[in-house]
Amino acid sequence: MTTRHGTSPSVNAARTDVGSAWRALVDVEDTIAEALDPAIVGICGLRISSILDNSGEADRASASLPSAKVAALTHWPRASPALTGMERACLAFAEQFVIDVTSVDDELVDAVASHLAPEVLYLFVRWVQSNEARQRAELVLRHDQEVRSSP
Amino acid sequence: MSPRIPTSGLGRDRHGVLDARSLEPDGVRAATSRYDEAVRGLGGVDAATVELVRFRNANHQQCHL
Repeated sequence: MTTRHGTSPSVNAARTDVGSAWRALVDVEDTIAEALDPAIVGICGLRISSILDNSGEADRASASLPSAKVAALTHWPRASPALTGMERACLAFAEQFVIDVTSVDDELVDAVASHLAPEVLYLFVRWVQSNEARQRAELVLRHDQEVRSSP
Repeated sequence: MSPRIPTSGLGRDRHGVLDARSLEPDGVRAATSRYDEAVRGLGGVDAATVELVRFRNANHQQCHL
């Protein structure tokens, strides 16, 4: 299966149920993303892929973003005129969500809420959650495949 | 361990309980239902996958966090 996230991890015939769940997760993420600012989706997806060391995703996300934003992310969280206040607030939230979700505090949420309407904020959080889950699933499924196919 | 995203739409914190389903567009709700159904079909996670996740997370904590 090929999506805008690239080709899905191969899942052997005995584990097609896993493939179905993975594709459903991709669908959740993509459906939510349609309601969000593409720039937010792009930069937060790139930051999440960097934290998770998902190089394939990072390459795809970088290619879809303006080079100035990619360069700014390289030096994140240093201030850069290439990133708006909304983008910085969303990046800080997404980063903390992935590193330690229990440490997401009111300050991080309020910063995002100052830029997004409540229903968009809710969808943004759902998107971060599904993006992280999808990227982690990809990494594990690929690793799983490598282990099972090794001699 | 469970790979399931808690997507009931009900959230609770010190301010009370929020039913977030009212904030979801129909398309998101439908996609979430399909995901919930697909995960239910898994019937749990096998021990080998749990170990792989543990191994992967340990690597991340040493190298990236």
